[in-house]
Amino acid sequence: MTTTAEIRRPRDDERDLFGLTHIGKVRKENQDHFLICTVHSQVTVDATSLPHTDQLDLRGPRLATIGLVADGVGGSDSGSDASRLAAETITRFVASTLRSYHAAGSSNDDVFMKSLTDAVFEAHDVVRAEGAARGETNPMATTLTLVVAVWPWMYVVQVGDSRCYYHDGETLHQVTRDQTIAQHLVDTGALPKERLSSSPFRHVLSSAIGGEEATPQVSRIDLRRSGTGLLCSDGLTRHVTDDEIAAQIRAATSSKSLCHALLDLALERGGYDNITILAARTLLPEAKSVVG
Amino acid sequence: MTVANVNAMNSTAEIQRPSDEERDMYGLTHPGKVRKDNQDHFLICTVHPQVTVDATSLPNVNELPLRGPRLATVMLVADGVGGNDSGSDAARLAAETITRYVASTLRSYHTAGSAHEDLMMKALEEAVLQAHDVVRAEGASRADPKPMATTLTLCLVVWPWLYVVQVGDSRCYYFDGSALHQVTQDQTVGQYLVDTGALPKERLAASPFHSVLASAIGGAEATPHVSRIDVRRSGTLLLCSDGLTRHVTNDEIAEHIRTATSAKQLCHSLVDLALERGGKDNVTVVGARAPKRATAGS
Repeated sequence: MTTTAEIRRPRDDERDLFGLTHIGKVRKENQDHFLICTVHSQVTVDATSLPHTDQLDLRGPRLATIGLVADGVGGSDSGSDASRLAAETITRFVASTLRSYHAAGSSNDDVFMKSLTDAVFEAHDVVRAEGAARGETNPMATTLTLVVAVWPWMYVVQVGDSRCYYHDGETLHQVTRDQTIAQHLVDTGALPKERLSSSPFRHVLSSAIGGEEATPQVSRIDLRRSGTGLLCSDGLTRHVTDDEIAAQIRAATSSKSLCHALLDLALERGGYDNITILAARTLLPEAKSVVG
Repeated sequence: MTVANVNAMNSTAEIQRPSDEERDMYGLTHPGKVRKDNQDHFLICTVHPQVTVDATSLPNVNELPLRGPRLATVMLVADGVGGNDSGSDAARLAAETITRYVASTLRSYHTAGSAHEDLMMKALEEAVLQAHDVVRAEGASRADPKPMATTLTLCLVVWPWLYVVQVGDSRCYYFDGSALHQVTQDQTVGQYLVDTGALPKERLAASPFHSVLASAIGGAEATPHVSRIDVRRSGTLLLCSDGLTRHVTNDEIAEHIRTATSAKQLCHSLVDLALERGGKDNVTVVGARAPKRATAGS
């Protein structure tokens, strides 16, 4: 049995983060949105006698790294508006809920998890309110896979069927579970697993931001073993298998090359839907194996 | 409307946390009329969370409120001691070190006013001792063996609490709407002699030890003293170097605060008064208020 040494917290410039989105080869518009951002403290100087405050490092250490993918559902612009609204609401929320970051990983962990689901419900309310204001018969909705990394933990909040994977250096783990009717049927034993991919309910969401029901599921991963995180919309996973994703992660030299290699694979195979891929790796010298 | 109602409303308004824009803060430093250089430094800054976007598909992401709500307002005055540039360098180094520190100790802000408040007080004390180490290290590395040192009065407002860390003889005052309170105690040999009963209070001003620091950042000893007071919307906070207080009495300061129309006007009127009376030392004044908005109809 091989054990990987625990790694220290990577500095800001030791993170290798990349994200891309592509319209695909069939759809006329891209209803996916993604965001990668860093939350940190900041000092803003109001007045001073000090010379050269611009040379002072007024940016404090990072509190969290955040990544999200939202895959919009709905006619016209509704889908892309839903995913945009959800992403924007989450962005606003993470800037203002700093006080709960200190609870991450502590015995108050549930406080932090609660604030994450609160953020997701707020996005749900915003999208529903917008949908109601438009009075469309086709509701606007979106998936949302949100990752908040507060060293040494990575929290993942899932609504819908975009996915979060984590490759621990040896094995690929699907962190999130698709919230689709077909997956629900498989889970309850009503549908054999091998017939999942051909089920007409395969892409029907059982939980969606702005939909009838949003049931966010929160999970937590330990980041102290070096690894690679991957977020994607189903535009990738309808064409590319988990084994292929694992192989691409193993062969990757950077987050950027990984995202592009996976995108190319999905496009080669037809690119039926919008494709969004985010990758995160660490560049720590001691973090050997896949993450270099 | 009954009087009781008015009072209830006033007291609610009194404790309402001011928005960023409602804060009226100003700082001013002047070399005075005698000294050739200004060895004082001051700083007023705001600590807040910030979201930095690394990559996104979102259009106009910069129109989002990426600046989070303020966690703290920080104000400081440092009055440098030492020949040539040593004094102002000591004051500058202390101010810069504190600025870096407050940006990085964000995790302790949530403990303000809580049962874990000692973490906050400890963080402030550590910030000051770190400044002490930085100034001492710089002093030791210079060819000129003359020690460089500075006072440091540091105020950190995490509404509705004000934390004050004191080293030396710059001062922090809080005017509560009717009375002026000197929050800090001068850390001078003269004050120490008065406190221990060795020197009558009325002879303090004439004592040769009046301005000799018993504790200084970068000096032989730095003994930061941390205090906490509650602040209200009707209050005014004032920080100053001894260049002000050697010329202007506490009663005069109170009177100027009472009649002040803005933090800027307050700082200028106090500096003008010190200059009129000789301006024997560098004069630094920092004022902060958060006057209640005129609530028409209430």
